[in-house]
Amino acid sequence: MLVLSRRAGESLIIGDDVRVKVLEIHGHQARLGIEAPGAVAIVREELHRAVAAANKDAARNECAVPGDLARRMKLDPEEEAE
Amino acid sequence: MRNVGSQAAGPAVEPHLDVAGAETAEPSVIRFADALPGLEGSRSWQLIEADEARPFYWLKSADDPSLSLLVVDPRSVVPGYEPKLPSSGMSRLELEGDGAAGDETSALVLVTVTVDDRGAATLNLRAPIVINPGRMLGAQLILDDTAWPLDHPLVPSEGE
Repeated sequence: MLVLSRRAGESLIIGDDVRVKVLEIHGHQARLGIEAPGAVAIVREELHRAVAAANKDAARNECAVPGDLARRMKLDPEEEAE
Repeated sequence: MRNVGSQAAGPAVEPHLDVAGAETAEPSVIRFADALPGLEGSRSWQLIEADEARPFYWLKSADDPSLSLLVVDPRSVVPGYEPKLPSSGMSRLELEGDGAAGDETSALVLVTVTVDDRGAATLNLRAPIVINPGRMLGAQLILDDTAWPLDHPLVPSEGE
């Protein structure tokens, strides 16, 4: 990991088009401003981790029986008569 | 497990999703340029109808046959779920608009279903899987809005 120090008001550039600026520092918290192209997703790491954990849970779906779920939700009004 | 819109024996089997190429026996591959968090090995997925269980579908990895996710169209099970999609995701998926509710009309919005050992199911409303069916592009978009939980209980709308 690259480690560098920045003061409030200073920035760094990542690649061609991402700029991260330290806006202010209060105790243990830094406020950052980020400029990036519109298609770049920016997300807090803990939320990304939570989604990763949720996806891994969802992938362990041996207990998932979609037909039972649909019946429980009473979602099959247009039952195909077969 | 049945392919979306696969050619079943009977006539008049309508494809349930207007996904390009859905009439072919093998469902089309949806490309995820950014992998789903936690499932980085798979960037190609296929949407397959779960047997007799609309609006539930299987999102099956085309890269890893052992990997599949149960997904559901949230609007039919969570009334009022009309999230503002992040504009970065709209742009990556080549969808028109800035993601405001109603903007994503051309997009297919699905959420993952997690079922625990006792059969209790939750939905991840915070990170919908959004598909542009015209371009066959997909992405899991993480919402800014903290109002949508990652583990919304899936319960019948009326008491059983």
